[in-house]
Amino acid sequence: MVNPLKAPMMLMARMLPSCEEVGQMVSESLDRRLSLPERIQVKLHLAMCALCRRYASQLVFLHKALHRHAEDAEARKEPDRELPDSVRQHLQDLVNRESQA
Amino acid sequence: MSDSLTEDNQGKIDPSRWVQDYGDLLYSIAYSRLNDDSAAQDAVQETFLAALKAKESFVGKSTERTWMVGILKHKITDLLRKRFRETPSDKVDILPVEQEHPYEQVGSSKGMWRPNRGPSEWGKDPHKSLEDSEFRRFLQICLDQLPERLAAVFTLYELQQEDAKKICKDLAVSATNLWVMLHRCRRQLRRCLELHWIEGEPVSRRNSE
Ligand SMILES: [Zn+2]
Repeated sequence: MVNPLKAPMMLMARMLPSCEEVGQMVSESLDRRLSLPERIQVKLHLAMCALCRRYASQLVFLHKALHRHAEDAEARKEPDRELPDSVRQHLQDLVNRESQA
Repeated sequence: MSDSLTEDNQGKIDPSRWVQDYGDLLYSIAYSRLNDDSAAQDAVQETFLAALKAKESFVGKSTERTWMVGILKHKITDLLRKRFRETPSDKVDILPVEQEHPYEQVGSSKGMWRPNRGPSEWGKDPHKSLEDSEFRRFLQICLDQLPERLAAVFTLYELQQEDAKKICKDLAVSATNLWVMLHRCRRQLRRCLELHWIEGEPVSRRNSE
C-alpha cells in the first residue's frame, strides 16, 4: 500500500523551489547575496527551466535599465520637460528676491 | 558627476542664472520620480531656496550643477518617504500582474508557470534598448503606473539609489518586506513592458483604471 518512493519524492519536491519562489530569489539576488543553498537551488532550477531563465535575464536587464534611466536623467544636457512659463517667472522672482535678502 | 569642471566654473555662484540653467533639468528629474506636476514644481522651488541658504557652504568640490542635483535628490527622498508613510498600508494594492495569476495556484504544479503565461521572448538586444528613446518612454509610463506606496519604495531604491538598510530604517520596514516589495514592482514593470513595449498593446486602456 505504501509507496516507498513517496517520502523521498515529497522531500525532493519540498527542496525544489517553484518558479514563483525562484522568481523571488532571482529578484533578491539583485538586492543581497543569496545563501549557498539558495544559490544552488536557483542554479539548478534555471538549468532546467527556460521560462525562469528568461524571467531572470529580463529582471537583470530591467535593474540595469533603471539605473541607467536615473543617471541619464541627472546628466542630460537637454531635459525632457520644460517648466511652464508662469512657474519659471515665479521661481525667477523668488530667487531674485531671496538672494537680495 | 560626468559634467566637466571647466564648463561650470567651480566655486563661482550666480543665483540669478539658476532658473535658466537648472530649472528644466531639476523639474524633469523631479517629475520622473514623483510623477506629479505640483510636487515636482515644489521640489524645484525648495531646491533653489535650500541652495540659496547653503551657498556659503558650496566650496566647489563638485560642479554647481552636481551640487544642485544633489540638493534636489535630498528633497525627493524626503517627499517619497513622507508619501510612503502617509499612504495607508492597509490599502493593499493588488497589481495587474498579480491578478493575471501567471503561476499555477493549486495542485502538484503549484507555483509553476501556467501554460502560455510565462515570460515571452523579447527578441531585442537589451543593451541596444538602453539607448532607445522608445524604450525609455515605455519604462517611464510603466513606472508611473505603479501604485503610490510601492512606487515610493521602488523609486527610493532603484532611481534615487538609496541604501537598502537606510530605506528599511527610514520607512520602518523589514529587509524581507523590502525585498518582497521590490520584486512585486519588478514583476509588474516587466509585465508592463512586455505588454506595451514588446506586444504593442495600447497604453491608454490601463491608464484609465
Ligand atoms: Zn521555473
